[in-house]
Amino acid sequence: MTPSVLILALGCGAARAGARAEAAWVLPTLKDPHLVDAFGTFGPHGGEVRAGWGARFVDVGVRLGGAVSSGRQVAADGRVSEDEEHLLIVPVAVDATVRLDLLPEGRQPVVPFVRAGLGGLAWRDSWDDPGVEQVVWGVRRGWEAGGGLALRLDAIDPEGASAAVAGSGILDSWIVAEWRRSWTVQDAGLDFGRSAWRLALAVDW
Amino acid sequence: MRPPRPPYLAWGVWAALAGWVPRAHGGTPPDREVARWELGTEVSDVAWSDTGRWLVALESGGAAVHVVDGWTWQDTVVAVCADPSGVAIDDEDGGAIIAVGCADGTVARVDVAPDGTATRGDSWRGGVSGSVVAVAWTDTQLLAVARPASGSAQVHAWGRTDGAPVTSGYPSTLSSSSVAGTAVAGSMLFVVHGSDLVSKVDLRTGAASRTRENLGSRDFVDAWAWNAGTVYLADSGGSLCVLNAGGNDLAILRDDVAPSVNAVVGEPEEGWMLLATDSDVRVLAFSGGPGEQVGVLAGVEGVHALASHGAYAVGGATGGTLSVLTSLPWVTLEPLEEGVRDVGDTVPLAFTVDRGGRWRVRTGGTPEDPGPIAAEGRAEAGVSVPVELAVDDTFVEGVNLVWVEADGDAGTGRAAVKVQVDRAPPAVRLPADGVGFGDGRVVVRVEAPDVADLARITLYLSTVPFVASDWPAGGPTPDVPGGLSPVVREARPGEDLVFEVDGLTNDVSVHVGLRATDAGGREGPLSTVRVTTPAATLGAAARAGDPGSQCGAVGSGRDGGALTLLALAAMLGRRRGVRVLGRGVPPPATPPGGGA
Repeated sequence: MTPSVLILALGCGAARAGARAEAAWVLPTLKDPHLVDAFGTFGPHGGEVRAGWGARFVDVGVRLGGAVSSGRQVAADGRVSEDEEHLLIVPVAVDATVRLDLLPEGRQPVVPFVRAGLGGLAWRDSWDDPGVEQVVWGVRRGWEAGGGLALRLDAIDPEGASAAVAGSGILDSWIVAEWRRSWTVQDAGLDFGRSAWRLALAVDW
Repeated sequence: MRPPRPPYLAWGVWAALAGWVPRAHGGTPPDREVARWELGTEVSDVAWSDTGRWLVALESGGAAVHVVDGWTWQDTVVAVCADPSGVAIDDEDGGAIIAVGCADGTVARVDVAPDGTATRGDSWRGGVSGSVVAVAWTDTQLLAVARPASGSAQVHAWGRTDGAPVTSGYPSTLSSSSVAGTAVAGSMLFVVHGSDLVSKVDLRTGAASRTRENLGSRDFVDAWAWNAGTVYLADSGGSLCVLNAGGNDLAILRDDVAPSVNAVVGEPEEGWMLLATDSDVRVLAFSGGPGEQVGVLAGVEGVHALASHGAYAVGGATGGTLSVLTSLPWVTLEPLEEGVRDVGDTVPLAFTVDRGGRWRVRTGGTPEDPGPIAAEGRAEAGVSVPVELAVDDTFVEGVNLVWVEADGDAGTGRAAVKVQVDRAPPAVRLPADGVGFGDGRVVVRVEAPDVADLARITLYLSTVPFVASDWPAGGPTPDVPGGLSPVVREARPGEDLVFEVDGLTNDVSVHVGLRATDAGGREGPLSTVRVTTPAATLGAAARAGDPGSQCGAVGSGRDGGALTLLALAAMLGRRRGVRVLGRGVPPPATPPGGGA
């Protein structure tokens, strides 16, 4: 998505422009067999925050997350041992979102959306090699795409929403459920590509 | 003047003539003295706990209480205070709390543990003037009636749970200085003062009032409250009187019982009432009130204190004896040889019954929830019955009660004897996933057997295969081929334990087994033996051949240099690995042996 497309989308869709903030809990599903052996299929899970700017149909945003997990080292014959291993992942991304918020004046309670972006992550894998902590760390860049549904909380509690608007300037609040697939650009080593379910609370100003 | 006799009494006379006496619930009143114990010089008060498990006799001559286990009929003596007067007992978590009035104005406390151990506790004290002459328990309070050096008697109260003096409404001042007896029913305390004077105290407020009616020439010495509205009074002048508490009315029920009535007690559920005289104990039927006299327990002399529970009553006499009165067969168990038994041992029981009939021996349980029958038969009165009782799996670790029950016309009498059993702990359960490996090490996770006297668990390791049957005791140690130094851990029942043994050689299989040992040093069987093989282990990055980014060169060939800051953020999050050792596990008592 080029900047010119984004600007066009913002211009066409903006009944109003504003900001959006999201706080999310993320449950990823790992793909790399080495990571799955050590940390399990669901691997490290954690949270992330996202800040976006845009309008009714489109926004762009930046995202920062963090996830940790403890697992077990594996022997050469594939047996999972009692020796511990720890993984830390810090993902970042710049993304764009297109929302199908078709009804005017916030009357659409559920808004589908798709999202794509560019990003990467920093990772750190550590374990005890009797008595000595071993650490390997690195970074990956990659891209991602996903989609989901956003439930407008105003539809559930209109009075509360009105009070929030009056008291804090919040225009809309949402519960967001999203599925996302991430790919990392690499030719060897650990593959941090993953799919993830994401549950977020979002507010618009 | 004798009051009009209620119609049911007349009906009772006719029924008695026909050979049948009406009773409220079909119980048979005590018909004999089945046991008499010489406790000392004077038993001045007795009390029985509500559950019937414990009874206490105050031996005022010896300044001690005798705590009798109502199941085994064994007693424990605890010294209390000088010149004690009045005793009360209440159940407490399988044991009991005993309160004894003392001349120094305190109330001595004796705690009885469920196993019968009785110990002197801290006295209740505070604000009492004079000597405490009577005590009583309610659900929430301990009550003490004190007789000051001058002035009227006072009722003091302490909270049941916190032991703190109750100040709202207390002390409650009575209308006389003398105190001859007390009785509690509902929220009312009744105090007999001698003569014809009775006080009642509303325990909710501490407000005291006295009887209005005059029954001259009476001398009340004891009271038994049937309920909050009706209190029966023993008159040392020889009559049985009743106080209608609601109307503060006194009436003479029977004025021809004996030259003197010293104590009164009743069991309405069983349908009888007892009156103690100087020379015997009179038995009255009780159905909505005292009925005809249905028996005389001759020879039970000098009883001045009565207490009862169920089919049993006890009488404390001024001569220092405590008599047990009942209509049930009485079982006398001969003392067991001291010792601790294990499964497979035999217990040589011997007992006699005072009335012939069928008997049963049960292991464990209570009178309300009896255990399984281990032996049964028929006994002749007074003839010793030997029973060889095998200790089997129905016996539990620790103290076991073995009951002997004897059937009679009036019901089943029983007594119990304590059998101490020390069983070897069971095998430690070692599941297949309880054994793991690491780089040069073995990790074993187990749950300790839930055995009360568990002391420790020993982990045995060997590079040579072995099975549990190879080691009836102990296990492979360094003095046998392949044996490694055992690891010993103190353990609590049911505790999760983790054994970690380092310094082992990778790729050499290690066989492991565990054994539990109890506090007495008795070993359980060896667990299932499992095998694991330590091996070199690798982190995910190492197995994937991922060297990561080089120090100071985060932007390696496939990484974007713009993400250097993220890598630094990751470095800030570095943390040390944590070994999970389980709940409250102390370090190994014995260092692990060297690797094979």
